[in-house]
Amino acid sequence: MKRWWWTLCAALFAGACTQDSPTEAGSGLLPPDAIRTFEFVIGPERYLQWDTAFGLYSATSEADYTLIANDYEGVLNSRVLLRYSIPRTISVLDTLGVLRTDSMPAYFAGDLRVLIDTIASTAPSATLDLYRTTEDWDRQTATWQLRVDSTGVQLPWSQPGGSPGALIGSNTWEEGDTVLVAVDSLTIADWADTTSVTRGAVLGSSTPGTRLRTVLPTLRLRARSSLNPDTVVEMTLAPGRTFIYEPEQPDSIGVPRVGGTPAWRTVLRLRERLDTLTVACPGIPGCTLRLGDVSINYGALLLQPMPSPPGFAPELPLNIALHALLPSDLLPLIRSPLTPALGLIRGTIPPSSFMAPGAPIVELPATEFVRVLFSAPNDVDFVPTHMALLPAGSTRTFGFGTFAEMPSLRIIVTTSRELQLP
Amino acid sequence: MTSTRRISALALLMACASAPASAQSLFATRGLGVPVAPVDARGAALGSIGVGLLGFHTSMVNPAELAGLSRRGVSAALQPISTSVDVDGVEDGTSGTRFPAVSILYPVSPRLVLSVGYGGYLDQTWGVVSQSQQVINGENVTVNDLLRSTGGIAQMRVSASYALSPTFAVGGAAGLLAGNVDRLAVRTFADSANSIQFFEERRRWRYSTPIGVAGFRWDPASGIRIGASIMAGGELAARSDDQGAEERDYGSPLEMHAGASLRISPLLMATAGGSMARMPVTEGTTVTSDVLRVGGGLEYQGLRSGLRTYPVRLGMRWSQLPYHMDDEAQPTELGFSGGLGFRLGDPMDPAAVADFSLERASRSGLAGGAVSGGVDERLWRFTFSLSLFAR
Repeated sequence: MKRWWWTLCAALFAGACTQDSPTEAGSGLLPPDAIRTFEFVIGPERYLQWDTAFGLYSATSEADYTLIANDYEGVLNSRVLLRYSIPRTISVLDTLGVLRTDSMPAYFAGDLRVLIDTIASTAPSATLDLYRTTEDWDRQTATWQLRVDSTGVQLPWSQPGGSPGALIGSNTWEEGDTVLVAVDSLTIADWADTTSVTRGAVLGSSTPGTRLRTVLPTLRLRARSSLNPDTVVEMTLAPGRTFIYEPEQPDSIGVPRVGGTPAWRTVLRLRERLDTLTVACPGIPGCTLRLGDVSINYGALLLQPMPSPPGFAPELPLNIALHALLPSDLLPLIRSPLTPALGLIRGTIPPSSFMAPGAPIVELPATEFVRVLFSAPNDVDFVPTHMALLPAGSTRTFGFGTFAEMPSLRIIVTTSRELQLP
Repeated sequence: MTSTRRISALALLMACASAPASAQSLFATRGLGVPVAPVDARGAALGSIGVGLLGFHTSMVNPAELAGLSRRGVSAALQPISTSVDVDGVEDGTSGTRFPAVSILYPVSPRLVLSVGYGGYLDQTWGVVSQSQQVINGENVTVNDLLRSTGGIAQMRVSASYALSPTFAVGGAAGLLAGNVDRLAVRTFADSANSIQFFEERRRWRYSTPIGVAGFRWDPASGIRIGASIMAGGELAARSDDQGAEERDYGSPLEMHAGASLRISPLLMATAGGSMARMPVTEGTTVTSDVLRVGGGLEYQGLRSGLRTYPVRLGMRWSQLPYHMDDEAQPTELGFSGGLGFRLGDPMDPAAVADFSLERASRSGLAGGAVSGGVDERLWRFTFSLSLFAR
C-alpha cells in the first residue's frame, strides 16, 4: 500500500484527539443560575469562641528606632537611654606618615546627632534635652519605673523616667530632620570611664505635646592625637540604647491589638467543625448552603479599627498578617508556634484609623486559610483551632492598632447546579 | 508492509482513538445526548441505517450483515464534524471528531464470522461559555462561566453471524452500553483587586448496562436483500465516585432496525431503511421521546478505471432526536450525503477498502423553551472508513 495512505490515516486519527472549543451561542439553553455565587458575612458568634491580645513580644531595646515624647496626647512620656563605648585608642599617621595607634587621644568635642522621622513625628518645634544618667540601668529590661526589671531583680529609678541628672546640652528642632546636641569634653571623658556605673545619657523633650520618632542617635566625636597634635580624628559611634515610656500597657487585654513595641498579637479561638455551618442563600427563600460542601472563592476577616489608647495610635501605617496558631499542651498559648502568614491586608491601615471612631472596615483576605477552616477534618491534613493577627512587614511602630472585638468574616462561595445528570 | 503489519498498525491507531473523541452539539445539553449511528462511511453516504445493505460494509447495527466475509481484518470509521450554531440569532462554530464504529473481523469458518467492535450510541459532548455581571462586595464584577460536558455512551459488542444458507444468515451480539461523562463548571471573576479565586468543579459518571442484539439477513432473490435487527438492554446505570454526584438509573434501550436493498441494474443499487428506538428514559423535566429514523440512497458502480470500480453514492437521512425539555419541541435532523469507495490492491480480492462520505445536515428544534426560537445547527460531516484484510 502506498505510504501516503498511511500518512493520511495517521493524520486523521491524530487530528481526532483534539478537544473542541466551547460555544458562546448556547448559554440560553442552560439555566441562568447554572453557576451561582453568593456573598455572606458571618457573624463572629458563629465561628469564633473568643479573642484576646498579648503584648509581650519584643522589647524597646530591640527596636530599630527610638521614641521621645513629652505629655503627648496628655498621657505619653518617653525618653531614650543612651550609652556609648568611647574608644580608648585611635589610629593616626605620625609626623613620618606611619600609621600608629594612639592610646592617649584627647577628645575635645562631640555632638549627638538625632535624625527625626518627620512623617512619624509631631510637627516642629520641639526642644531636645540631653542629661547625664545618675544611676546604673539595664538596657534589656529598663522601664519608666524600673532601671532593672529582670527575673528576681527589680530596681526602681530614684526618679521615674531615667533619673536624669545634669543637663549636657539642648537644641531645638525647628526645620529639617536633624538635631545636633553638643556634648562637652568633660562628659565624653566621663562616658569613657567604663568603671563608672552612671555613665550614659537620657534624651528627652522639654516641649509638651511632642512625640518624635528617631533613628538611633549617633555620637560624633572629635579627638586630637597625642602623637601628632595637628591631626584631628572624627568618628561616629552607635549607641547601646533603649527607650522607656509611660503609661505602661498591660500584658494582655480582651480587645484585639496588633503591632506596637513591645508588639501585640491577637489570638482568636475558632469554633469546631465549621464545615457543618449552614447559611441561607441571599435572596433565595428556602435555600441553605452547608459551607463544607461549597467552593469558597474568597474569605476575609472584617476588622473594625477602633481608637487606640491616647498616645498609642501607630505613628506609621500599619500592616497586618493572619497566621494559624498551633497550640501545644507543652507550651502556654502566648508562646505557641505560628505558621507563616496565610493572609495579608491589601495596602496598609493609616494611623488616622486608630485616632477617631468610625474608620472604614479593613478586610484581611485569607481565602486559602478560610477554605481550610471550613473543610471537613477528613479532607485536609489539619483544621486550625486558633488564628493570630500579627504586624506584618519590616517596619515596626511604637503605637498599635486596636480593633473591635470578635471580627466578622466575609466569604464568597460558588455552587453549580448543572453538575448533575438529568 | 505485510497485511498482518498493516492490521496491527491500524489496531494501534484504533487503540489511540479509544481516547475520548467527540463532536459537540448543543442538542446534547438535553438528556443523555445526541445519538450516534454505528455505521461506516458507505452506510453514511447511502443514508443507510446499516441494515439490509448489499455488498461489504462494517456497520455494527445488524450482526448478521457480516456473514460471508472470508478474510480476517480490522475496520475503523472516523468522522470529523464541523458545525455552525444559531441560537436566537447568536451564531458560533464548533468542530470535533467521532469514531462511530471500530471493529475486528474474524471469519472462523465459511459460515461463521466473529467480530469484536466498538460503536457510537450517545454523544454527550457540549461546551458553553457565557459572561455576566454580578455585584460582589459592592463592586460590579464581570464573571465568566464555562460549562462543559465531555464523553458519551458507546456500545461494545462481541458478535457472531452465521450463514444458514447462501441467502440467509442470522446474527447475534452481546455486550455493554458503557462510557463515561465528565462535567465541568468553571467561573472566573474579573474583580479589580484580582482577589476572588476561580471556581472549578468537575464530576465524572460511569455508564453501563448489558445489551443483546439479534438480527437476520435474507436475500430472497438475486439482487434483493432484506435485513432486520433488534437491540435490547437492561436499565442504564450512571454511577460516580465523586462527592455530591447524584447517581441515576435510566430506562432500558430498545432499538428495532429494518432495511432493504435492490439492485436496479448491474451498475445501480438502491437501499432504504428505517428504525424505531427507545433511548434510556430520563426523569424530571427532560422528556425522552421515541425516535424514528429513515434513510436511503443510491449506489452507482459505473465509474471505473480498468478493472477497478469507484462506487459513487448519494443518500438522504432523516431522524428525530430523543431528548428535549417538556416545554421544548422535539428536535430533528435531516441530512444529504454523497460518497466514494475505493478498493486497494487486487480489485477482486482487495487488501483494503476505503470509503468516504460527505454529508450536509441540519438539526433544528428545542423551540418554545428557554430559547424561544430554538436551536439550529448546520453541519458538515465527513466520514472516512478503512478496512484492512489479511491474506
